[in-house]
Amino acid sequence: MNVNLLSKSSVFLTRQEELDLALKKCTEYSFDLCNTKKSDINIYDSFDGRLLSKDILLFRSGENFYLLNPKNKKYNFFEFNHSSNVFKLQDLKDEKVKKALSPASLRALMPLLSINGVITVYNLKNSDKKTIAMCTKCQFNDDSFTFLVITPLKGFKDETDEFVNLLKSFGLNYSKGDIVRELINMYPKLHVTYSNKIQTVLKQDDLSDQAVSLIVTELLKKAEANINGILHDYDTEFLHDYRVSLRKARSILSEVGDVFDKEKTKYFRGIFKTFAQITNNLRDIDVYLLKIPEFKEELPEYLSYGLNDIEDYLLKLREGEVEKVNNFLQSSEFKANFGEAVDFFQKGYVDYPGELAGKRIYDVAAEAINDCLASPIRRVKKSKSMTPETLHKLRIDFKKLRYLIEAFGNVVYGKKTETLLDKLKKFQDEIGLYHDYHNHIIMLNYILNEMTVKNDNTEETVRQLEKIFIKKRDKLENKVLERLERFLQKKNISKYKPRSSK
Amino acid sequence: MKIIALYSIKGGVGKTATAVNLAYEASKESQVLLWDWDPQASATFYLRIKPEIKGKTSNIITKKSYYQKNIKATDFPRFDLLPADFLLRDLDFMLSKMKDSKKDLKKKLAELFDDYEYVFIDSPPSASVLSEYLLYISDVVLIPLIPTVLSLRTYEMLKSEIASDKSKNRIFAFFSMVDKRKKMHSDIMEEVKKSEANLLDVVVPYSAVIEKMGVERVPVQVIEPKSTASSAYAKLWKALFDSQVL
Repeated sequence: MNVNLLSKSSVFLTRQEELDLALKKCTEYSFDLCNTKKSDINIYDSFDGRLLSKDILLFRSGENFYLLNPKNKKYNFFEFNHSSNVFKLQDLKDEKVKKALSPASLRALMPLLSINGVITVYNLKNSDKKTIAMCTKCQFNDDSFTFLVITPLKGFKDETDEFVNLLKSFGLNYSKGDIVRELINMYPKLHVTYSNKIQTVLKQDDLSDQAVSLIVTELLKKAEANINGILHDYDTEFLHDYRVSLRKARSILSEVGDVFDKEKTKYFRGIFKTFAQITNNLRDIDVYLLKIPEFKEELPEYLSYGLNDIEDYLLKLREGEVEKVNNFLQSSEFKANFGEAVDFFQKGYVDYPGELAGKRIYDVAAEAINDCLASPIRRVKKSKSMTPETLHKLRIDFKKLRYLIEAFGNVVYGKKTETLLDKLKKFQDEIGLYHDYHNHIIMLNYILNEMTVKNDNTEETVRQLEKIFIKKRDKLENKVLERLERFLQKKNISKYKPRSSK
Repeated sequence: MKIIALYSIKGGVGKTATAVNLAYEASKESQVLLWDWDPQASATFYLRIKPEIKGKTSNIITKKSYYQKNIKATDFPRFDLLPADFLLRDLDFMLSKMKDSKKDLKKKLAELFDDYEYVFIDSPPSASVLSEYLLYISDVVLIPLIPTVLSLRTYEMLKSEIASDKSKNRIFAFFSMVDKRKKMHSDIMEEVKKSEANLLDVVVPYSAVIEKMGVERVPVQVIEPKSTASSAYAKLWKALFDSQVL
């Protein structure tokens, strides 16, 4: 990788013909060819783009990896070879690199974007034939665009700026940055290749069945994108995102599924349930294994030893569950069912219209959101006291509402969607935490009973944790109930009520 | 950082060509700065850079911002130039009025040029306050010597001037612009070799390719890498290295 491409430079993004034409007009300057070589840029990140979200840029070009330090905005490079394209953070040997990547809390790294192309370097010369800047032209194979990166030589910034301004005056698309950053800007969807966040943007007048099928298809593709990561066990997040994508698809089908034939909707909801159900145990184990360091911090040191047996037990159990899930995901039955679902939501649905098919998606989504809003209000009114079970059911009600807003918020609320979603998510996370404490208590006792081999400390450890979680749960309960009451107040709920369409 | 000054009381002895070609030779492996002290700006011209001709007269010699603003990259990797500045016509005056001692100046320059392994100074022909400072701040003073009577005379003058100076062990001479067809050149060279302890065993020939530098505006090693002149500069750089002063 040419270092000029990594320093802050003037970058023009244009089509080759436009660039040639503009350069021909720069008659006071000349270009001396230095070298031309093939180049590749592979941008690495976690499956859900955690590095980029923390402004940490990691990419490989040739044999070297390059890491942009967000603090000093400088690139460090290091050599790293691994048998697979995907590797775990602990596979990296350089402690400084690991430390630099640590703010993103990631486990596996993989190439999210690979670009191959030809890089040509020229010396830009002034009328005295003195080189004043390096011009690097990058043409990438998969796209019709060309980058021209102009980096002034020491002491020639002003003269180079004159040249840059001349090119700008020809209307070329200009920015100030480095080429890898610019490449990332070219691929706005880069961050969400694997993430379950719904990206389809609908219009109010879109036909309901078509709109819902678009959303479900997107979610199925997201679930599918995670399968390879699950099979190779690169990161537990692949399984999580696979499950959430399917859960969202299932939830959306139950709220607005009447756009399709009732039987078909029921059938596919069942299929999606099967796809996810088989992974329930593995996900639970993953969650507990991920929680163990947190549990250890809660305990005095002599007791944290008791968690080692629990961890060993879970790891052993996990091996069996991984095998079970992998067998399922590789089975011909799963592949056939998955293919059938994709086919149906991509095109087959037109032959199975439901009673709400052909309506405006705004009307269908707005009605579904109204129904969803009514559900927690009804539940609270009905319940005499707020038990953990009621709170769990309320949590599910809000999840359904959130998925609907995620899918159709753009149609129903427009720009307000993100604010409404953020507020809902914060509230949901609090109920979720309450529910987690409750669940930890049940699950730890269950594991304790199931374990055949345990040391003297294991039981005491569980009891101690139980005490801690009960205390935490009870402490949170009042706060959650207050929040719930506030959330369900007419003033707040009315913000979520869909207004009439434009 | 080591400072290598090209110096002579006499003009037209090949100081500038040596400074440019030697700096180019050094830049093949090291980070190098060539500082053009000569208001005639010949080294600056050779490297296709425009000299600074604007600016108020002020004592710029120890100002960091002056260097940050004015150092320019040449067309060759690791080779920067601090171009001739019209302000330097007053260098003598600046140095004579400077509050810093020679020692302070040397220390400040070492800080300012920390990024470079070698700083070459192409000095103007003179014998003044400037040369006094130059001799003090330089780790090596390199004197091109044309094997002619007049050239030797000025060299003797310089030697007598610095006879008591501690810097005399850092002063090296070499034969420059030697025309092997001239018997007088050969005779004088033979004679000087017998008596001159700090004479480097390098002969830079009088050569058309060196004159071509004014047209091509690049070092001789770029014009004709295999020429005798190019080899002579490579040998000169090696000889300086072997002298263990650098």
